[in-house]
Amino acid sequence: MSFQASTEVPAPIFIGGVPRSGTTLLRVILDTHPRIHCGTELRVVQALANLSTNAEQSAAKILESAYGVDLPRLREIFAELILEFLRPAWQASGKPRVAEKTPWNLLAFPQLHRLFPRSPLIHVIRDPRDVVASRLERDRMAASGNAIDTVALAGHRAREWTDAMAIGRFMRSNSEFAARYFEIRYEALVRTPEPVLRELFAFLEEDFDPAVLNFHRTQREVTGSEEWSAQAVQRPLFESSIGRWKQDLSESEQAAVTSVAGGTMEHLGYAVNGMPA
Amino acid sequence: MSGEQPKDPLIVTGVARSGVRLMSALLDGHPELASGPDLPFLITMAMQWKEIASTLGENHAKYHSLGREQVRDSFRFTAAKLFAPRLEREGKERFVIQSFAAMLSLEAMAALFPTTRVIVMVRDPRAVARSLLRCNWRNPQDGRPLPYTQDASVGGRFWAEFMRASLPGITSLESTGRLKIVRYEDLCAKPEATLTEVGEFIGKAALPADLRQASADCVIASTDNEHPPLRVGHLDTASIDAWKSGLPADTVRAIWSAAAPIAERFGYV
Repeated sequence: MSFQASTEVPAPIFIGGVPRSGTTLLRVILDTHPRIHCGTELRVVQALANLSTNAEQSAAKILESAYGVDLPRLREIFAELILEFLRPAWQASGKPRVAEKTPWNLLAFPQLHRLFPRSPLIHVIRDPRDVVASRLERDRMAASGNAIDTVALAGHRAREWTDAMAIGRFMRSNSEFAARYFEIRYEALVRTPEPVLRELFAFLEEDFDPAVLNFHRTQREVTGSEEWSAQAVQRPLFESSIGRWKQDLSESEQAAVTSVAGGTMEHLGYAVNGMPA
Repeated sequence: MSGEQPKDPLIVTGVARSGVRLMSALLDGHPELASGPDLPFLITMAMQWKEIASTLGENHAKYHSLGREQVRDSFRFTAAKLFAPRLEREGKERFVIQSFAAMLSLEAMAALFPTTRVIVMVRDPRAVARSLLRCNWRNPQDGRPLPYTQDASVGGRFWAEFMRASLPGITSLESTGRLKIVRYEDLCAKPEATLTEVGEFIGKAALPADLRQASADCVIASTDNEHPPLRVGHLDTASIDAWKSGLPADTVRAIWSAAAPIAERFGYV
C-alpha cells in the first residue's frame, strides 16, 4: 500500500435497490460471468461513502489548506478505503472486474459516482407492492409471533421505497450521473432475462455469456447464508413472485402502499389499479 | 496489503479551553512532529470502524477473507494518507491529532491506532468556564450563542459533564500507560519540567529545547476565527488564577458545586 496518489483507481460495479427487489438475483448472475466477481454483501459501502461525504462537508477546506489534501485526493483516499474491503476476495477470484451488491448502496449512488467516476451503478427496481409483501413476511418473522401493525408498517416500507426511487430520479436527471446509471426492472429480468441481460452487459462493456442464465448451477457453494434470498437464487428464474401482493397483502395493506407510493408507481409504469407492469 | 505499517498519530485532547491547541502547537515545534487543525470526522471514522468490526467482522472474515486487523489497518492507512502530504512537506515523521471530541471516544481511537499515545489536557474548571466566555461559538442550527459561552455556571456544568463522560476512557487507557494527564497549570508554571515528562512519554526527549524555539514571540492564529489566538511566547502563570478576579463569587461556587467531584481527582481544590 502506498501513501501516494495512485495513477488510476479501479471502477467497481455497484448494485443497489430497495431490499427484496432482486438485488441478490442480479448479484449471482453477475458473479457467474467469467470476468466479474460479485461476492456476498459487504454492507459497508454506504457507511464509508457517507463518511467521505462527512469529511468533504466538514473539512474539505481545512484539508486542502492545512493538510495539502485537495478534494480529488480526498475522494481517492476514500475510494481506496472501499477498495480495501473488496480486494481480498476479488483477487482470490482471479477475475478482472469486481461488483459489490448491498441493497442500500442505492442511497450512496451520488457519492459513489464522485468517488468512482467510471463505476457503473445498477439499480434494481420492483413493484413496491411485491417489495412490501416480501418485507412484511420478514417483519413478521422478526416479530416472532408478537403483534405488529402491518398496515402502518406497509405504509412505512412504501415510504422507504418511494424515497429510494427519488435517488433514481436524481441519477437520471443529471447527465453526468445518468451516463453511469442503469436501471433493471425485476419483472422484466425474470420474464425476459436474455434481452435484459444483453442490455446490461452491453452497458458494462462486457460480452453476454449464456452461462449467466444458468447461475443456479454454479452458485450453491458461494452463496452467503446471511443473504435473505440465498435459497431463491439456487433455482432457475421463476415468475411466481410477480404479483404476490395480490395474495399476500390485505386490502388495507395494499391501500397503505398505494396511498404513499401511488404517484411514483404510475411514474414508473406500475399500474396502481391493475396488473403490475 | 503489504507489510508496511503506518506510524500512528499522537493524540492531544481535552475539554475546550484546556490547552489542547497550546500543547499541539508546542509539539508542532518539534522537528519530528507536525500538528494540524481538528478534523472531527476522524472520530466518526473511528466509531465507524468499531461498528463495522463488531457487527460485520465475522461475516467479513467468512465471506470476504478480511481479518479484523486487516480492516483496522485499512482505516489506519486512510488516516495516514491524510497526514502524509503535511509530514512530507515539513520533513517530519509523526502526526499529532488535536481533537476535543476524541475525549469522548478515547477507547475507539486508541484501538484504531494501536501504537498511539494520548495526552489529555486538564484545566481548572473555573478557569475553563471563564475562558469559554471569550468564545464566539454559535449553534450552527439557529445561529444563537452556545449557552456555555454566555454563562460561566453553565460552563462549569459543561466541563463536569464532558469530563464525566470521558472518565471511563481516561481511566482505561491510563492503566495501560498509553495516556498521560497534563495539567494546563503545570504546563504554564513549570513548562520545562512538564514538557520533559511529555517528551519522555512520547519518546521525544528534546522537547524543552524545542519549547524555547517555539517560544519565540509568535501568535498562532485561530483556525476558525472563533477561538482566541494562542500566544505561545507567553507561557506564564497569569492565566492560571485569572478566574479568581474575573468571576463573581456565587458563580465560582456554582461551578465548583458541579465540577468538584471530578476536579478534585485532578488535584484542583
